[in-house]
Amino acid sequence: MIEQIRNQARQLLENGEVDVVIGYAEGSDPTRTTPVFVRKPEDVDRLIYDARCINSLPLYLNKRHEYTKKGWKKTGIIGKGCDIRAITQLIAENQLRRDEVYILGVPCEGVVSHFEKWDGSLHDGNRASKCTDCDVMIPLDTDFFPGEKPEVDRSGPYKVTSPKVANLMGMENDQRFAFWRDDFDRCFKCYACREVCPHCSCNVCITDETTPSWIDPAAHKKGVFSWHLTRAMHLVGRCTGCGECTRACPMDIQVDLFNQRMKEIVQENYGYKSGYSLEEKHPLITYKVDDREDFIK
Amino acid sequence: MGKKIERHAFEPKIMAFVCKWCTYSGADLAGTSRMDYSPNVRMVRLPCSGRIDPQFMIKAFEQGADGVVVSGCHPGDCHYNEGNYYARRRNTAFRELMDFNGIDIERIEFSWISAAEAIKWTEVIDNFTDKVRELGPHAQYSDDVVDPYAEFLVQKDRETA
Amino acid sequence: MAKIGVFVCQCGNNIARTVDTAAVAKDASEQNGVVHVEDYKFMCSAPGQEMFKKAIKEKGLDACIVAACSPKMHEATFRKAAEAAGLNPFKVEIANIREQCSWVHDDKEIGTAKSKDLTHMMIERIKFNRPLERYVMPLTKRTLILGGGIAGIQAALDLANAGIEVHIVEREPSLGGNMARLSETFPTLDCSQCIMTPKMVEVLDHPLITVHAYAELQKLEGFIGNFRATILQKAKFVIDDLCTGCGECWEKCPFSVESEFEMGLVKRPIIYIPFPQAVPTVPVIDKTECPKILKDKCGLCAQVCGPDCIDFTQQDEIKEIEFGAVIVATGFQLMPNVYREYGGWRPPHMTPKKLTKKERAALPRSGAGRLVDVINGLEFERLASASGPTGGQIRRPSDGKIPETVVFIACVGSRDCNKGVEYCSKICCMYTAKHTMLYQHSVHHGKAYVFYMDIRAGGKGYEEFINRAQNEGAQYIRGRVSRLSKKGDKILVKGADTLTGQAVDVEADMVVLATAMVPQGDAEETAQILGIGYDKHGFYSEQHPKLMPVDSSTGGIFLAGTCQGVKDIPETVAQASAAASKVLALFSKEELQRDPEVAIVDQEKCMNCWDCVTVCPYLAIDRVELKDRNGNFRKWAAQVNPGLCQGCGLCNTACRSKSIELQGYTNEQVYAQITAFGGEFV
Ligand SMILES: Cc1cc2nc3c(=O)[nH]c(=O)nc-3n(C[C@H](O)[C@H](O)[C@H](O)COP(=O)(O)OP(=O)(O)OC[C@H]3O[C@@H](n4cnc5c(N)ncnc54)[C@H](O)[C@@H]3O)c2cc1C
Ligand code: SF4
Ligand code: SF4
Ligand code: SF4
Ligand code: SF4
Ligand code: SF4
Repeated sequence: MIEQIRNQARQLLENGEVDVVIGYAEGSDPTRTTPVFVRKPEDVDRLIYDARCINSLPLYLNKRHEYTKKGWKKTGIIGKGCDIRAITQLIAENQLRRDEVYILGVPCEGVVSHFEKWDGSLHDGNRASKCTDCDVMIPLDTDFFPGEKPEVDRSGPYKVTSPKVANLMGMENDQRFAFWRDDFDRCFKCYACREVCPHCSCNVCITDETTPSWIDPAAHKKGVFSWHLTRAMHLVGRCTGCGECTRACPMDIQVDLFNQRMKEIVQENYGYKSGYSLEEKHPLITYKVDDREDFIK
Repeated sequence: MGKKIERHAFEPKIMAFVCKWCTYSGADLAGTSRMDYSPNVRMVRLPCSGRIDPQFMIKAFEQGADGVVVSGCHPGDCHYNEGNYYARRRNTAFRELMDFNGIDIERIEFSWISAAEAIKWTEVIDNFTDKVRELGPHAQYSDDVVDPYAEFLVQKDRETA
Repeated sequence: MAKIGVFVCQCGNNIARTVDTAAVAKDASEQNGVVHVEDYKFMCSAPGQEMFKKAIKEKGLDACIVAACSPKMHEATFRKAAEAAGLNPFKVEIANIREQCSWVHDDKEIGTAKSKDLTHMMIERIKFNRPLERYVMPLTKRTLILGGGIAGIQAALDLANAGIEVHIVEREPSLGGNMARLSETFPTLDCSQCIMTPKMVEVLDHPLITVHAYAELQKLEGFIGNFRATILQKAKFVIDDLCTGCGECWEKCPFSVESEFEMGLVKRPIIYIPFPQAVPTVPVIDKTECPKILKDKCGLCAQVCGPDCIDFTQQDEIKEIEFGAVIVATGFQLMPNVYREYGGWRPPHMTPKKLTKKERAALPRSGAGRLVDVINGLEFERLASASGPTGGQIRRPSDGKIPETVVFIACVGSRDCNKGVEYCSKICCMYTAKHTMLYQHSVHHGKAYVFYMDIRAGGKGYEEFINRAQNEGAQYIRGRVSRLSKKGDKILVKGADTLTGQAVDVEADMVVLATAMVPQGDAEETAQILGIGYDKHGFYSEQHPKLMPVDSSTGGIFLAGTCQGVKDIPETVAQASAAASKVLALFSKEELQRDPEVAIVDQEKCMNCWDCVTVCPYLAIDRVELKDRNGNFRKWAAQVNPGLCQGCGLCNTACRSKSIELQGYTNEQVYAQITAFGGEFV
């Protein structure tokens, strides 16, 4: 499979159709992979693909990272199904044009949750939680796909609730509060969770804004609550579930649980799944007259 | 002199974000009709319930509110036609989010109140105040971990003032 | 440093009874930035306002809080006073301590504490109030009326008689719309043409009205007061100014096709006016049929035309005209496809697309389950009309026989969630009653049956009209018809009488369906050209269903007649006049003043996600390209058109990075208000 991708990448670079191919290469040690920007046809052999390819590359297509594609007209990118959902979402939000990317789709069987857990194979012990309910292992929108692309029925809801979310929802309010308070106690507002998110594309993030500063810049409890509630709110119906925010957090805070929970809410109430369609608007900027209002007096 | 309002050991602080066409007018009508309702509420007048940002509610809690009221025109009556529909969605998501964080969503009250529903306004405020009084101070937000640097700035401010 | 003045009003005893206003004033005076306070009996009185103005001038106040009654009462008063004293009116805010404090709390201690708090919140808020200037925009005092039915005609006359220049764009060759098709009108049975034609002529002759007949609106740009319309004048192949309307050409034209105006009941020549009283009386050549245009054969009309006004080389023409307001009066059609359901024959022109000659020939004319003598209400109007195809004698389409028995079926397609529309078409009960009368006036021994669900006759003189129809002999049967089938040269109508619970079979010579009134087939495309909202049926949405029934969702565009919902003529005319008066009110000033409490965009911050564009109910936000100094594209950004923005603030909430803000309710203002929240009980 990777040979086909390499050949296609080589051709694209040779005939100048793309200026760069973003993909994965071997990392600093055998358990790791690293993102790579291939610009010369002779370098395509560095490209690899296997279950260690966790990184969500569409981050680099986000306009905030424009420096990475200076002067590049068209970018080739290797995408797993979930990455391609992120690309679709970026296009739907007008952060990218479809004709600016060439998507080399790869069939995926899941990735490991952390490099450290890689022991040569992928199994239930090290599979990333986002991969358990994935319905895009055969990706959606691709320009190139190695081999025949089978038809997949994706009409259903996401299959399972993340066990961690279910676990939290099973708790009492206070326990849940205590869980987050303890977790958030560690947050020192480095904003890595924002920097790594493909959908945090704002030129000035609300938390860096000072007129007024809705989010208290200090890393005390209120400020941290406010940051995480805001971030999660901003990603309602937009997060495509790459899980990078959690993986990036130096303090091991599982911030993406918020996003996973909101994913369920949005799906249950509005039947919306992010990153599947270019036309559909995310649920907070649309409405139906008969939306749920059981909580309203 | 009018009748004394009963004072409890704990009086909740309540902040209301309301649209100016319906709820604010409804509250005005309660005044013109000389109804009375619990004095714990402070209102912020906004053009539309669709202008009510979750940021406001977060800030209100940070600022020591024990409860927050969000209110606007009934569905179909929005002055701008659709603002309250967006408000409804945003609040659905926001409540679920607060809930997932373990923050007590009983402390957020969402109600449709038209400009004629002065009685409903007084009932909503009275009942909600009673409820929050039951719940007690918003401990989740009140056991504050003060940021030492911020404290230092405040101190400096005071000295220079 | 801010210089804020706080004016606490006692409102006689209204506030002072339960609020210690002196304490509120004293407390306010201790707040940061407050340099002046007053505690006065009646702030809104003349002396109170004088004091207010004097303080602004003498103390050089740059912002004022009036702690008094609701802003709904006197915000405007104090803002005006401030303006007179040289302070920007948007630097005045009201703390509502009457309606929301003194009148609702009977305890003075508590009332005072709450008033202090409310005043604090306002003091903090006003520090972030920006001085705002009202937007002044030019106003083009010219009105575009789209559609020349009775609605368009009425609005045009009202406006022109008030001295406003009007342009009517009508896509058919003549004004008149559906009303021109009617024979006589309920509830008075006066002749439709007789009341309509004089109005049409008046329109044509009016010096302030320009009629663009046989024309379409292609594009509408701009906003209230400043629209720019692109009008496509379809080629008529006849020179307007020369034509005298003598009729030589259409009498001599050797070819003919089905007449749209007559609902396909008869034919018309290829160079034609739709009906004899057409206004303007200038014919047009149907270029899809004319052999001269298609293959350069014939050209007879040009030979017979006296003034020599036929020009086969004429081209479509594009006109660009500026307008200040638009009235949409595009009317309705009858639901096109219900014939099928009843086995009726569908005249070809009623199919959604225009058929080719071949397709048309292939359509069965009769037999095979297609019942030619099942017609709709408008066709019946034509049969009953003195100027119609049968000269006013009611004859059935298949063989021209005078029908002895006619069955009228009400609610065809209306109130029918499955095959039709959910709503009641409102006029069908009335015109069906009218039809039975017209029929019986014309065929004295004829029998008229009406199958109906309910009779809805809520109008002036309407119930009486129904009674009259029943007294004149029409037999009303409450129930639905299940099937129409052919029986000899008759139609067998199988129905049920739900009042007696019996089946009723009638052998009819002709069946008339009161088909549902629905929007024009292209209503949605037209709405998109205009940029206005429409409901799920395609009727145009009014801005507020109760309080603003003639405003569309877009400023400066008004609705008249059946394009907005089902209506009869009196209602249509009333709405048309209402729309005209709205335009007059808009045009009563020399220039347009817009409230400055509108949204603005920080374009450098904007990341062009267009979420604000999606939520804005007034399409007030444009997507613009920002250029650098050399004119090269730099970035996209949102931009608010203050002419359209209504100040709802939905965009502000939708924007994650808060790049768009509603002035008057900015983030800083609300933030300050929230952070000043003390919530002290006593
Ligand atoms: C069978 C029948 C009988 C009736 N009898 C009565 C009666 O007895 N009494 C009574 O009060 N009412 C009666 N009515 C109702 C009456 O006909 C309507 O209320 C009235 O005609 C509505 O007028 P209007 O101007 O809104 O629409 P219309 O008459 O439909 O006029 C709309 C005009 O706009 C033009 N137009 C449409 N789209 C465009 C476009 N995109 N660009 C340019 N021009 C466009 C059309 O060509 C048309 O000329 C009857 C209706 C029916 C169907
Ligand atoms: S990455 Fe972790 S520590 Fe940094 S801001 Fe996010 S949650 Fe806090
Ligand atoms: S919020 Fe987290 S999981 Fe969602 S898209 Fe952003 S980085 Fe990925
Ligand atoms: S957290 Fe919100 S404001 Fe900040 S970058 Fe992400 S989406 Fe934008
Ligand atoms: S929502 Fe905000 S960032 Fe997005 S286009 Fe509008 S102003 Fe710009
Ligand atoms: S304030 Fe309302 S009307 Fe104005 S631009 Fe924003 S969404 Fe549109």
